[in-house]
Amino acid sequence: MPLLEVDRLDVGYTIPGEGLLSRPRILPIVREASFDLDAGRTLGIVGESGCGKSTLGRAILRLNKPTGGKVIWQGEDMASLPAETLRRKRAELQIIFQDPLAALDPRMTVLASVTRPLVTFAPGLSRRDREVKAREALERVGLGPDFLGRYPHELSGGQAQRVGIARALVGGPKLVVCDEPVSALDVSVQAQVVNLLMDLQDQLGLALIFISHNLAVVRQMAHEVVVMCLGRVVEKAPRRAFFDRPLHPYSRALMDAVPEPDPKRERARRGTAITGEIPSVLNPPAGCVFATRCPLVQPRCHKERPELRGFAGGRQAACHFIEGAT
Amino acid sequence: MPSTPMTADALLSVRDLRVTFRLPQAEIRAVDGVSFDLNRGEVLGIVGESGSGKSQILFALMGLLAGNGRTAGEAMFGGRNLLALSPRELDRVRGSEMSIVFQDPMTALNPYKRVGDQLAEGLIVHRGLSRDAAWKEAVAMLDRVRIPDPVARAKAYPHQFSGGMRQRVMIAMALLMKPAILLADEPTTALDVTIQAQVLDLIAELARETGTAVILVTHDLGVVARACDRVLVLYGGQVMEEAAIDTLFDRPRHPYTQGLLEAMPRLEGEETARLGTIPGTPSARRGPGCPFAPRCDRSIAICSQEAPMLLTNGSHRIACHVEGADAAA
Repeated sequence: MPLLEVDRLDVGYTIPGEGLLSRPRILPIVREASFDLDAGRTLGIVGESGCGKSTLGRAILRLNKPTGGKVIWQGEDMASLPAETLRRKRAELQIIFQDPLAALDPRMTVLASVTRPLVTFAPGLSRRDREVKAREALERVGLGPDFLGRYPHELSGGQAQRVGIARALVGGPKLVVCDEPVSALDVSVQAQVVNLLMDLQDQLGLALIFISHNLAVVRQMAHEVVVMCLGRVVEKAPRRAFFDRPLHPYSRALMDAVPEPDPKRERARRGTAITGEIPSVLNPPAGCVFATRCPLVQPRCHKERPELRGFAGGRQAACHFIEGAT
Repeated sequence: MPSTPMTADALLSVRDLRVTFRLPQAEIRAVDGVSFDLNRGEVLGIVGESGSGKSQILFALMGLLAGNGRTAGEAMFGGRNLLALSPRELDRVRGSEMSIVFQDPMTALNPYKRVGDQLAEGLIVHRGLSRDAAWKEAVAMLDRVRIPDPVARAKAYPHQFSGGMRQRVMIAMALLMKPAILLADEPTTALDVTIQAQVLDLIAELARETGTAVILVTHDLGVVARACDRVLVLYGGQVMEEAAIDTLFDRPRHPYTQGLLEAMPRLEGEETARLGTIPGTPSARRGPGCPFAPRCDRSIAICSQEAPMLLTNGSHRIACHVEGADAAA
């Protein structure tokens, strides 16, 4: 049994209806997302802004309520859990955010921020024991005793993100959803945090969902990659196979667009960027979500949405024109 | 400034540029003796982390520093020192000979005015065109930066554009006056990668076609590799290394540049178990020595006592007591 099973998950937001008297409607953000995740593994979720990757990550923790499908955690349907049980369960499923300073209460010290989750997750512990655990968690992320009394404004971005990680770890999670955790950090600091997350995974056997627009960071961190485009999973593959040869034209376009610190590669790619704008989620294309920008588009793509099909090596992709489906 | 020979044909020559900000308790040296030349039609990258002073260089050139900011040094452009111009002279240079594009295109556009009117305004004010002629030229420029259906889009308001289109509108606006120099401050940082690639290619192409020289400020060495011809690596307000991009990426010499490149995860090439790291964080506090010394694993005694000179080796320049000595030997 996998640690986490996400089964045809739909997530939407309620928006006002079109007319004055019309009823509110649900705007679908994520549609039919499915994947499994085991302990000690990292799933990378990549895609452009508005593709639904953060919404999907939050829905796994039920920070957004799914509108369809299931999230099964260690064999239990999360939707069936009473609110009180769910709150306790969250000790096992934690999240870290992109803006580490915004995610911390400016009036709480580092120690108080990291101790706070234990009030909910371990109400039986004495205050003293909670602080001992918090110090341990901070130690793990490389923040020593002189950080305990600091306030968020006294921290650099990298230090604040380490506090966010310690706060996620203090309850002893099995899964941590990392929502663009290094995007706001300087390159030299980003590398420190990426390495830290990989070390923590090795030490604690954590499962990670690593959400990022940065494909290179995902290649460094993930065991498996999910590519999302306008709310749909368009490709899913083991890391090495994916980065050797992405199957979906959208995955290829993303990879070609990422600027690498390699002038020869970049000169060869100048002028090859795909054209067109990302369609609005309010008005997604009827057929393939990538049809409006795809260099290989055919008439069929505008009418008929391709389903995810299986390919050799445990890969899946949703495109009418990839040969060799299994 | 003996380390930087003057090139006669440089479009812009910056010498020993300093930018300081006065705070109640302290003085911040944001840019600390930066010298470089910019040539016609060239895309010069300035790359650095937060606090490196990269954006302040652009603001100093455009006269856009915050009220408590002071400049020293020289920025020669067309026989004038930009840093010594009166506000009126500066106004004439800005917008017509030199333009700037910012990171966030939404806050740089007026939300209440149609995009075409905002573009036309500069042409009417600076070049005295009639409203009709200015509007026509604005539409042509929107087409040039590949805004689809430019005739209709000129009548739209900024909120009706996507982020990538807004940035292209800003580039159109900056280029309308056919400036000799375009300054771009992290112009693609807020954009998705596919849109970033379009915008970077557009900037590089326009520079080649129109001869406009570009200074592109970015934190991303990948962006430098995609769009620039030459690059300055900045740390703590000082130039650590300068080279043509092929030289810099093939043979980075400065420990900071090397550290940055090793810290970058890659899409291609061998997988690494862990990324290279530079210890610590970029800091604004600075002693008398090399600004990178506190984080440098190769620093020696002199590094924290004396700032290294920027030494020239062909077209490669590097400021490092350790590596620089090797080059001289």
